[in-house]
Amino acid sequence: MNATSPESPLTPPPAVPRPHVAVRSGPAAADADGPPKISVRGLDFHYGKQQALFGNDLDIAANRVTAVIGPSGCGKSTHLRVYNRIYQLYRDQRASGEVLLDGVNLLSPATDLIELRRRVGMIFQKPTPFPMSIYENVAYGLKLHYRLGKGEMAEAVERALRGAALWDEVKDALDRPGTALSGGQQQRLCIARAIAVRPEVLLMDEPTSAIDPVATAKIEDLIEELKRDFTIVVVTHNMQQAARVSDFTAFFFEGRIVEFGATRQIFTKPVHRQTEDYITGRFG
Amino acid sequence: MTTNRHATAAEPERRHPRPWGDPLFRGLAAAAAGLFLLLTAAVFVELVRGSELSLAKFGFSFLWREAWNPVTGDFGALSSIAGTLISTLIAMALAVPLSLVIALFLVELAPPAVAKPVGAAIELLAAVPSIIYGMWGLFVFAPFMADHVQPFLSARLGFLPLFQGPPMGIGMLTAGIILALMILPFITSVMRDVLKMVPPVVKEAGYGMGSTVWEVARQVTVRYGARGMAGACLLGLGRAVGETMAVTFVIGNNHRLGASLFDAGNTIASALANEFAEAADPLYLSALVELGLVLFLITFAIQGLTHVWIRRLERSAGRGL
Repeated sequence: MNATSPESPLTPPPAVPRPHVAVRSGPAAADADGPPKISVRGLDFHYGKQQALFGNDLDIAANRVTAVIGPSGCGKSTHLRVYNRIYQLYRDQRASGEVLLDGVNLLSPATDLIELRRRVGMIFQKPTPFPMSIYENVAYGLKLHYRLGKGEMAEAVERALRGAALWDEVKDALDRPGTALSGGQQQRLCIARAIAVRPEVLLMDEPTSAIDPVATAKIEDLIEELKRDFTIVVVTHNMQQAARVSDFTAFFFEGRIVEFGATRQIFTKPVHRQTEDYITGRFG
Repeated sequence: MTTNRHATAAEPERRHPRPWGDPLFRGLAAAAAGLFLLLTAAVFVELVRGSELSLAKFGFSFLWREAWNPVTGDFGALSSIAGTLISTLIAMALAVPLSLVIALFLVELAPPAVAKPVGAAIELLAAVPSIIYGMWGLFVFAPFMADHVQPFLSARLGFLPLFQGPPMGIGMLTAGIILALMILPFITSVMRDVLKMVPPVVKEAGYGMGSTVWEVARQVTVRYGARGMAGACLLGLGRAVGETMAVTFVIGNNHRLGASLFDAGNTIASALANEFAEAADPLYLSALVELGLVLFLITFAIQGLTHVWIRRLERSAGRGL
């Protein structure tokens, strides 16, 4: 899987320098104005005794799409799962370092996880509709976080479904089970559920890897729409997808961020040999 | 193309064709499964035949008459049916919520160092024979009920007819509680297995929305596992409805329908256990067999209702486990 370097397997593979702060280069990187929405500094991650992330540094620009790419097992999902501290459900997983959300370290024990997860929503690889109706799925988070009257609730549900480009397809079937929808529709339902609670950041962990190409195109268009209102981080296996939807791209390899920069630059003039090898399909 | 080196080797001897393999296996499996249907049907037929005398004499009024007099040959099943339903209801009302909370604790909250021994203890409890529960109920639990629980309930809730009367220890309430204890390990262990099967990503999605543990459990996990949960409850229910020994020890065995849960009563199963040996008169025997028939039909009806309920649930929530 990761035995990709031409050197002997005994020597540590990459001959590239591993910058402490990932390289940001090219004028396009300056696109992001204002302070970053999320700032990661020196993030380490352990599964039990095994270290999975090594000193990750990364800035996520507000209202932009940041793609996280890299070969399987490179730690990109692990990295993403720190942002809403979902990893904490599992006893043996630990993160250390700093992840600043609007300047406040969300790894601090003082963080209110419920509020953090309202502000930072997550879409998973497999669609995860809850075992309830379409309407109830979207209302689920609203009920958790807001006091809404019946009419307000219906409005908020409709707004979220419209926001996820699903309203026209389901408006006459709101009381049908969420699981009765097609895979792509289910994934948009999950997006509706996530955006209903007015988050600031959306984390997408390979959101299209389980659905067909037509549905994938719809979700990619949706991501383009959503970045007006949300900061989006999308982990993807699909390099064309990263190139199509993202403004910035971070390339992960073996738990380290090898290169980070404007997507155009990463895909046209990568600084690191490894990045180039990966995006040109020589490994991964 | 290159020549196939294997082609030059002599072909090994072939096994003879066996076209009957699948049909034979299918037939055997179908026969084994069909045996269940056949047995159920046979039990039903036998019960109906055995209760012919009683059916002919009392008709449907057997179901709602309270009389039970072997001497005059006058029989009615009301007190037994009511006793069965009431004791089961008490047992389910106590055991189901408790099982759910225990199972949730074991799966979602407890560290493995706690979950494993507790899980093992629960499975051990499930293996305790019912007569042990009955004896413990009679010698240990009934006196405790008489000395502490019943006086307490009378003092606090005595204005309700349910909790009036002398605290004798044995009776409907005690039987219900013993039944609850008996079915608790069954329901808990099946619920635990169902909860374990809910995919982690569905739970993660719940937590990812900003839910607490209880919110995820109640709205996501339990609903996802609704079918399995109902199965767990049915298993407990089946046991409670038909449980014989433990109930016979503590229920008091009285063919009268009292208003109070402290009163002695009986269930269909306990009446059968108590009286079958002494039923010499054909009509008496026939009435007892008809009690069995009623129990059979009650179980059948409960199963059917549960099925309908699950169907309705799935129409609005989708199919889970």
